[in-house]
Amino acid sequence: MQFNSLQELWFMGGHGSYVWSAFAITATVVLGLVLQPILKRRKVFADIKQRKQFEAQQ
Amino acid sequence: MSDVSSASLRRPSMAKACWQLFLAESKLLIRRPMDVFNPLLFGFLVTLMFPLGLGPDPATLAKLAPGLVWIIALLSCLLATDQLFREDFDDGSLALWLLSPQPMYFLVMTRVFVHWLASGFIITLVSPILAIMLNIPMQAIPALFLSILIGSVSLIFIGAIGAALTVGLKNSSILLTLIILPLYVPVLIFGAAGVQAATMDMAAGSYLAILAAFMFLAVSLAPLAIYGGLKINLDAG
Amino acid sequence: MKSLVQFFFKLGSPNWFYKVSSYLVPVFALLSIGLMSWGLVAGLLYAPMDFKQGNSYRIIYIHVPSSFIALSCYYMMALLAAVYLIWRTKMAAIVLRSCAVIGAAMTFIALVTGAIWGKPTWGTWWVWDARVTSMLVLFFIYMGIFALSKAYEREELGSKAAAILALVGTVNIPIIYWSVDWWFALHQGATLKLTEKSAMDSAMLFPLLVMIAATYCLYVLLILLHSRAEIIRSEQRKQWVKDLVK
Repeated sequence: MQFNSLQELWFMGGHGSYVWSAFAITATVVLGLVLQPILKRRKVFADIKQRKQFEAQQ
Repeated sequence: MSDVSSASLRRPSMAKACWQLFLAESKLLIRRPMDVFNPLLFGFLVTLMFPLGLGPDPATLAKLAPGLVWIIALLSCLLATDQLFREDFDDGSLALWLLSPQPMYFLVMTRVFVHWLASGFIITLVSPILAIMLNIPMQAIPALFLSILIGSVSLIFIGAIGAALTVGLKNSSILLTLIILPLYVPVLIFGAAGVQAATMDMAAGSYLAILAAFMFLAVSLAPLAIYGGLKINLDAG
Repeated sequence: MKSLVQFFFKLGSPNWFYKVSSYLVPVFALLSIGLMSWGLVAGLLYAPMDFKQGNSYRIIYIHVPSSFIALSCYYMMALLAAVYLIWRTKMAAIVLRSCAVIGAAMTFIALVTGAIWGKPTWGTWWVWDARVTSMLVLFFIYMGIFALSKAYEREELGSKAAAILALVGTVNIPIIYWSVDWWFALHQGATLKLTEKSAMDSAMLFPLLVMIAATYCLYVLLILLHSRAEIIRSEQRKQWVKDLVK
């Protein structure tokens, strides 16, 4: 372990803001990349379901 | 009747077909001189903007002039390519053209070459004037002229790929810029560096040789992509 | 040999790809989560501090892997573009479009983390360094391919146009890299020396290797997820997709 406390880990000897902002931006982009296809698939499935119900009513 | 059908069945030789296309395209351009003049006017206008933005100091302008003139030439070429296939696509003659029995590779090459004569070549002719307006050292003028002469061929052929890929789309100019400008990077680097070298009394020959290599690469490979792009858009129409 | 041909034939079928990839998604999800937590804990908590750069060097654990993916994604895209234009395999087009998005995002990450890393290390957010500049050009090429693929109303045509542009880019990218390198060497007089290689301590190197492996797994996972969503969207009128919805 390189850091003795959480504060030290957060501060990182003055470089904390750089390191953590880089990691935060990366995490946001990756999260977006993972979520986008999942939401897209969910939406298409909802559309198909709606169409099926509509056809069943006919 | 039989005359017409035998004439339409007789294939002209490839060289002859290219020559005919060359003449026809040149005539079209001569009848519509504004198509040639507009990119030139654009070039002069952008040249006017630089001193207004950077200040009129001759030394500053002279220092930046090689890059500036190259960027102006590049943008004018890009602007000129946007309309390259547009009109023929809209009136349907492009579809007929692609049906011709000649190898499209050479026909496309000829056509883009005519377009270069009307845009890249004319821009090359006025580039020394733009350079002098931006106070470039006199000894750099020959290198500037030659580098834009050779480089603009690559610019027009690469730009024609973008024009072909976007010909069927509405509001394509921004998209054309987005897909083509990154591909212009090598030409700009060596073109501007060659002129820069000439302003410092160094030989620009090697830069011109590299630009010529780019030119041959673009002229030989771009027609394939242009043809592919045109075919896609005709399928869409 | 025959089974290999058959395998590629099947690979081109969206239906088959969807079914097989449903087994691969959890595998790669677990692999990338596991490797990434291991790499991040090792890199952020246990790797020693760099005596020159301080702790800011820890950005390397995302900067280098994302740069790797940014480049290898383009190779993959070029290969898919050739496959699509030659054999008209529908799957190739679908994966190609996923690659354009993922590649652009990875290039973006590499650029942003590089800029953030540059501030404490060299005192400036942005340097027109050879590698930074070529990465920026690569980003615009990805964006161009992506925008072109979205510009057509008929998807198939958008994919074809994107594939042609990807192949044009394949010829161009080595030339761009080479000329930007040359350009940087020409103007290097006034700039900082950025490419100084120092031997990395193995305690620093090991988390980096783990992170590279993790990012490759994430890359495969993202390609699978995006391609699967795209398959479902483009085949939503087909019976086998309708059967997926209860």
